[in-house]
Amino acid sequence: MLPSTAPPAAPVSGLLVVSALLIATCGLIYELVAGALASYLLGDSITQFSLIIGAYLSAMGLGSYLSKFIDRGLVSRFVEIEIAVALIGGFEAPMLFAAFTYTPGFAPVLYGLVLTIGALVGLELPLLIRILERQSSLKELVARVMFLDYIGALFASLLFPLLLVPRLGLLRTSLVFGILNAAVALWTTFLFEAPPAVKLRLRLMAAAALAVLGLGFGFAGHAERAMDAQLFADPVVLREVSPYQRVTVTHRAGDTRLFLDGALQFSSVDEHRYHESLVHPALRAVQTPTRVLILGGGDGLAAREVLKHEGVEEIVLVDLDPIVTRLFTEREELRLLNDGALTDPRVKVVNDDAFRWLQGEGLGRFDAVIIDFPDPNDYALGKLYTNHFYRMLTRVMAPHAVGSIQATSPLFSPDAYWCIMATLGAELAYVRPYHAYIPAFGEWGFALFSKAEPEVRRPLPLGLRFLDDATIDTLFQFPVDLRRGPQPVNRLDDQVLVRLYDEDWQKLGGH
Amino acid sequence: MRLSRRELLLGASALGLGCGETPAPKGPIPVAETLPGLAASAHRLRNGKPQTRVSGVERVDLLIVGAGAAGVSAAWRVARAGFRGSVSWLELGDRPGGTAAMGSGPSGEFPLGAHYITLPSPEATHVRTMLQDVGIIQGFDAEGRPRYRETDLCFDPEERLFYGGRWEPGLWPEAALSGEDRAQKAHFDALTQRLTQARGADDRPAFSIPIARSSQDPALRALAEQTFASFLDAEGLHSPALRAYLRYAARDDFGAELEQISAWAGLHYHCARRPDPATPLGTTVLTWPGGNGALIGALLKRTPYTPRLGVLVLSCEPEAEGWRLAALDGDALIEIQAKAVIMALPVFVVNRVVKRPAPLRAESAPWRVVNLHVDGLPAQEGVKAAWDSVIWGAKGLGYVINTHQTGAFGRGPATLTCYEPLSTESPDTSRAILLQERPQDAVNHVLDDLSAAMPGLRDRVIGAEVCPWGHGTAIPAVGLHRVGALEDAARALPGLSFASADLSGMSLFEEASFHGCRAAEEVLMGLGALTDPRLAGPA
Ligand SMILES: Cc1cc2nc3c(=O)[nH]c(=O)nc-3n(C[C@H](O)[C@H](O)[C@H](O)COP(=O)(O)OP(=O)(O)OC[C@H]3O[C@@H](n4cnc5c(N)ncnc54)[C@H](O)[C@@H]3O)c2cc1C
Repeated sequence: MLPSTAPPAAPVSGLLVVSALLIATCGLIYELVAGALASYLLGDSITQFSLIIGAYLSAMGLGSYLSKFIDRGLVSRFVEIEIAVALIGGFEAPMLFAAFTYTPGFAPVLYGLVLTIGALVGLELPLLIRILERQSSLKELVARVMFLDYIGALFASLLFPLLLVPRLGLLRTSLVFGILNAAVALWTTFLFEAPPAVKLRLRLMAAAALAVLGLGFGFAGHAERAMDAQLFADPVVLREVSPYQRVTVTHRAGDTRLFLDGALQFSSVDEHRYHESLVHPALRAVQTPTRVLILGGGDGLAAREVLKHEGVEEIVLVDLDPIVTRLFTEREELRLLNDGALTDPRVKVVNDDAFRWLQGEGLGRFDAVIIDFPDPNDYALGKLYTNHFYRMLTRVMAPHAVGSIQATSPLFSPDAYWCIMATLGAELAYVRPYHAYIPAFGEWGFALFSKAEPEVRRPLPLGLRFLDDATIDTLFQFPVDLRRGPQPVNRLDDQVLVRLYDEDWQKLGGH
Repeated sequence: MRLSRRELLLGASALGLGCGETPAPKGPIPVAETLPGLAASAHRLRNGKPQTRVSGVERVDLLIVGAGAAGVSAAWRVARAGFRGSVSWLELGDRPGGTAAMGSGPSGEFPLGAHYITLPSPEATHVRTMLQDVGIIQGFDAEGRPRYRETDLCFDPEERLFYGGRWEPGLWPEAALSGEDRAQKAHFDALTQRLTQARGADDRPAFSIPIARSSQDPALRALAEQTFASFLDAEGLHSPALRAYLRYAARDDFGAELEQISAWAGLHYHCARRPDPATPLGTTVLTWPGGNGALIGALLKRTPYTPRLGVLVLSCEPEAEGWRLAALDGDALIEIQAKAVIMALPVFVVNRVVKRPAPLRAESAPWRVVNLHVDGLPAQEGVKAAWDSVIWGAKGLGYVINTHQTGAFGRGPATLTCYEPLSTESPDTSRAILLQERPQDAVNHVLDDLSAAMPGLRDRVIGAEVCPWGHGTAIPAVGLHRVGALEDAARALPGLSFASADLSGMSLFEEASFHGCRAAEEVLMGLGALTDPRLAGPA
């Protein structure tokens, strides 16, 4: 409803200054939030920012044009638009993040939001100018509004990188400006005359919007923690949730990475170093590795290395998660990484918990065993590093069988690494620690183990990229700062390993 | 200014890792009621004998009634003695085990009631022998200390406590408490440590499991004449946190409040366990995915006898040569004549079945046990998993998870067994509430109680089984442990011996099995059939 009598001049200029400034700041912030989120989630910030600025500006133009169709109830419409901008803009970052995390179509949501917010923001200034038109000359008004608009933009562009993002993060920044926008809406209702019923309705709407946004702000901490785990350095190309873990694959410039529960499992750039080191020292110490057991390693990369050895007739690969083995069997870009190892007729994939599987009957004996579990960062994984587990393992190892294991980093988690060595030593007569440098992980630790010292040393298969016969033995030499005194044995009833691993990482100042 | 990606998106307030998957909400949870000996049929006892025809009289040398921990232990003891006579065995439930029975569900076995025992002290000869017989104790070192099979020891981490918004290790929130709380806890710990080692004038341990091997020193037994609450008051132990912790312990073992139990019983919980394993262990608990049901199953495998299930014993009367029992097998009334009988029934049943001059009058606590079958666990703050999860300030005692002890990965399908003794009202009132409660309401009650610590749990539940134990655990009230009281209650009649954890005034496997072994030995001696040394005789 238009005011019937002219309101006093002072509040109007107050309204003008504050509203125009806030509206302009908020508008630009929403645009920056969208641009920042898009470039950090999708990568390629130049493209993302240009596209979003383009879309946003054109939507604003559209909004300004559409303002001519609004004839009646200018103030009410203005307040309603403010409320809409407050809600959509305020929840922009949470909505975008949710879309990215939980839906396949991020781009449609992104551009849908940018266009909607742009159009609404485009409506704001023309309406404000028209509302104030009656109290001031057009010349004066346009000059002041446009001035404030640009000042607001300057404000926003300075605040955003210097204060808001570092202090609040994108999620809260977007919510804070939503709250400011809703406050402008509420405040506006006090400056103009309107029938009480209309005022009441507008105030209730504005108050509700404020409440919802405030609530959102309160829960932001919660959402952040949920989001935090979803953040990866490179664009995410695949994301699945199994009953056991979150499986994420990222890809950037020829580097494919697999994450389980947010923890890096390999980078395709240097995984050959890891998997060659994991597999070949053990396999070359077996005369004929006819039957090989792989525990973990659902990505098929260890299997790929095992298949390079002659005489392999059967590989049993036990990995908990059917989603991981399915992805690395069916997805073309992932199959390429393991050379189709999981579809090789010699490879038998078993989806089971290795701990439970080893309790089973009729497993037979294996000539070589490769253990490739995630680090023992919780008790469920720690069970797979206990003396009891290794004892169960010895039951399926042929007398001459040789095993190898990834055993965390002797540099970053030395106590954990040497605890694994002590635990292996409790059940196996022969344990030889070794290590290799894997750029994606840093200095990494492994061990060879067997019931007795192996007598065999076969030449390595041809075509390896990291190891050769001349240098492989250097992996078994430990520089002084990687050595440690004896550590306790990790037992089911007392999982010291998980605590040591945790303490080691704490000492490094978290990760 | 250079910001990491994480800081860019989340700001400087970015917190630790978490996992935020929200599964799709599901329809209503299918709920079943599981009680091995359906309360309804047990209550038929109250209504006297039904008028059905007797289908013939069976004659046996030895009859065992009840296949709970006491009955199974009695059968095991009889078998171990190489008894040659004929044995019959009757059990009301649809499975053996009584309050230590187990169920089986989508994630394997799970307990319906009892779920662990503590490592037996040297005095618990019978428990050590049983555990050795079933392979859980694998041998003894030179000093006679047992070596345990690793898979029966509770896996690490044993317990966690939800306190201040996150799961912390252990059951006592030390770090969060005031200096006074900690000082009082230290005072209490020092007291119990002293009493754990204390001996009476008769040179027996002050507190022992089995209770029958505890000192009878009147100075110590005076503790049975006051409540635990008044004892703590007198010691100046008022710290609310300490009292909450001790209340948890009292409800956990006895299903009762600090004001309901005697000081002797309250201290017994903390002072009777002196495990001395051959190697230092990270736990004092033996447990199995199916709880004590697994132990019951292992013992059953070591006896040639199988209980006849679904048989309700109604009466037991003396005859010229032994005893005559009437029982209901379905609708058929059967009669059995036995030369000797082992009555392995809870006292509230025994008092109706056998007439005796001075029956034991003791209260028992009702328990609400709800098994939640889940397809996975929701994200949680802090310590991710443990065998026993306790929520500070909740109504219930928390839950144990069956997959912990299988070594299966922590987040797949599992069964959570949630325990709550109804201790805030009188046992009779609570029993009435419990037996009238709709199973669906019990499930909702438990889910509400867990909701603060396990947001999103409801969406992971795929089924539930409710076990309303009307007479769950004996309440060791004031006077029950005064010298002689329980010994009188356990005194055999000619050819008839009693066995039940109730006869110890404390519901523990070790006590039930003690009385099972003792009753078997008494009866076998009466029949002239015991040659090996006694496991459960007087100290
Ligand atoms: C919820 C709960 C949790 C517990 N947790 C533990 C624990 O963790 N550790 C522990 O040591 N103890 C625990 N207890 C106590 C433990 O279960 C008992 O101490 C012990 O198992 C009792 O064995 P019992 O044979 O004396 O009695 P019961 O288990 O009661 O066995 C009596 C048997 O007699 C049968 N019966 C009853 N009436 C008749 C009749 N008229 N005719 C034929 N048969 C009949 C019943 O069906 C039952 O099988 C728990 C108890 C409950 C209720």
